[in-house]
Amino acid sequence: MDNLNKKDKAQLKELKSPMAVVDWAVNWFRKQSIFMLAYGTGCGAIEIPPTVTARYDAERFGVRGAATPRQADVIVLSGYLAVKTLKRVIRTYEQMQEPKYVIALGSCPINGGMYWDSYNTIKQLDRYLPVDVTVAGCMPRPEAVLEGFMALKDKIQRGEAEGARDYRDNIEKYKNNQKEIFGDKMLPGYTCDWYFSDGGSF
Amino acid sequence: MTETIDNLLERIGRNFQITGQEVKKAGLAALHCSQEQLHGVLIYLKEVEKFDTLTMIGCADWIEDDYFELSYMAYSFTTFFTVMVKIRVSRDGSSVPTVEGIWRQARTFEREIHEMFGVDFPGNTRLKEFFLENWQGMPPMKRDFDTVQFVKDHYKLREEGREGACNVSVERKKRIDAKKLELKKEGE
Amino acid sequence: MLFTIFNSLLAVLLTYSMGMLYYGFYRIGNARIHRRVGPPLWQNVIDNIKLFAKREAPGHGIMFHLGPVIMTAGTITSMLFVPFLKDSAWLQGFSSYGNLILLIYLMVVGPLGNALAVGVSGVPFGVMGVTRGLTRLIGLEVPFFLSVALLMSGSGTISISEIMMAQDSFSNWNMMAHPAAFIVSLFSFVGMMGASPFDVVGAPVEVYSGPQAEFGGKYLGFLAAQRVMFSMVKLILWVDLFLGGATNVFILMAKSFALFFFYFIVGAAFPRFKTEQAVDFMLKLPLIIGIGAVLVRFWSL
Repeated sequence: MDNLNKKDKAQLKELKSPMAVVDWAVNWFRKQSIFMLAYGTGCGAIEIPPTVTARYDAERFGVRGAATPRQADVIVLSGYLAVKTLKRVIRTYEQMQEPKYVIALGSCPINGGMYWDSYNTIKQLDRYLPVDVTVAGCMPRPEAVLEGFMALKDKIQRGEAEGARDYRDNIEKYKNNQKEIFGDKMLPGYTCDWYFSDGGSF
Repeated sequence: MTETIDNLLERIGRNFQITGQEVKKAGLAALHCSQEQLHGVLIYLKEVEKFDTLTMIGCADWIEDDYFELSYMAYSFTTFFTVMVKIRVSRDGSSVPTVEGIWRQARTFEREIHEMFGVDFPGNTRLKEFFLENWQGMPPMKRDFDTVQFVKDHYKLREEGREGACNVSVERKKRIDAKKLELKKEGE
Repeated sequence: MLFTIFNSLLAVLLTYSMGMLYYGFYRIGNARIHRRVGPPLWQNVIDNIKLFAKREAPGHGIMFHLGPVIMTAGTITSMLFVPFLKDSAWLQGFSSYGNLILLIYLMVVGPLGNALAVGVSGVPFGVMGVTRGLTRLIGLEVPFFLSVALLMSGSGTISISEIMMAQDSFSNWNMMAHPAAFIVSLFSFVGMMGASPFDVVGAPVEVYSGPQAEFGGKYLGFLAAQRVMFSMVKLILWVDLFLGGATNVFILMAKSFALFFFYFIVGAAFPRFKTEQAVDFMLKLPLIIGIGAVLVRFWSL
């Protein structure tokens, strides 16, 4: 196994308590096996096939496609998100199982990109979903996408990729932001009720 | 005798009141008619001249002259001609009877134009929202729709982290000028 | 008794590690065919442990919980009735109490239990996958039963151990003694392993991994683990029935890997059948060979 590289070994030596070692090991398994749900929202959808096929071969890093949100660890949002798409993306994200991560490709999810003055695309994805890694570019090439996966792996190993926990803790904030753009046509209550401890819905 | 698009236009002109016509290029002609003549022309094209399909319906907003121009593009698989039938309708409260009965796919095109320009198509069986969900206010493709103002009202643009942002075209010009200067110095 | 329990645990461990190894090879091999580097050999183990380490898993009531459990239990039960080695007290499980007919029934228990769980979850793709699986089963079972019947009548016994014992030399291996039965059984073997021509059940882009669509986290971990173990059970069963059995684990690995390699080649080379095509295919050539062999067999009796 070439996976346990020098960096990992150095980290392992610094750990003191047995529980820290267990946490470290669990995170190591999580980072070595990433099931990806590629949600082709924009032009970046075309960057995903070369990333996973022969040319760039993401599988050697343990990244492979997942068939359904239930099985997936990371959702890759490739490009701009129309309001209508965002609603579907949020439902998909809420169906995924913790720990779950979000990678956003391109400049559109960061600040609107070239669609900054469009009436129908959102400008900042991290207002509506907890984004772990954003890969800048218009569009990022597969190398950059792989680099984004590497950044996510580092984050997982450090135990900082806790977007799901953030979403759960700040659910009121996220749902308020989502309500700002969806208005009356908010997501149905049964898709997100379990996030509210008092069983209340939006 | 081989069929030419001029012959076709002449035949249409004999049967209908055509206010203007031109041949854009080989096999592509445009003709203007009034809204009352539209259905007659389209039915004639389909039934008599065998224009099998409606490729698209376009809509252009001529805000200066205060009208929408709707272009119905019909295509024939036998002669490979495309004929654009153009009508003008007023920009506010305009309504055009649907052509869904002639070509069924028209209802999707009309649905889109209804959503984006607000043109009403009485008789269309599926005239509900299409791309936009829960849209209120002015249809977004009308030219007097202020998209920047809409974005400022409805979305939050990212403020933080943009303090050092530069104007790309200005910066690019600066760099090119610097490079030119450098090359000039090297040349000397 | 303790020895039997230890043996059973050993069998589970052995099939798990061998299966993970084989499927790691499967992924690397496929990657090399695509001209990729491919994942490390232990990627399947890593995936499996990660699935068990996920914090959440969706639930749809008690039957949904039981589905993967029944599936795994069915796999382990059928594993215990397959003798791994011949002339050895090791890795026999409970095979002295069972026989081939019992095993045929046990092998269907797991998938049926899982079908109930999928029905509870209410995912249309899962139900589609189960429907496809049961339809495919119609095609697969008939040639399999024919070949097993041929084997049982040829050996004069229904005990797997005795069938294995009877194959003492290479010329007495059932694949040499009953070539028709072996060829027919290979068709349903490839089908039962879920290799490419017959992988309509979990086709990722059609029914979104079919019966597994709603399972995530630990449930998927259980299903992934039982899948490789069940594959190993089938491989070992075929080694026992047709390839003369094995006297130690290394011979078992060599023989089962030969079969696995055949499955891998077929899976890599052929595109997917549609459901009805798979059934049609099974009910044509394999059925004709099987019925012909049975007729010849009874003619000569």
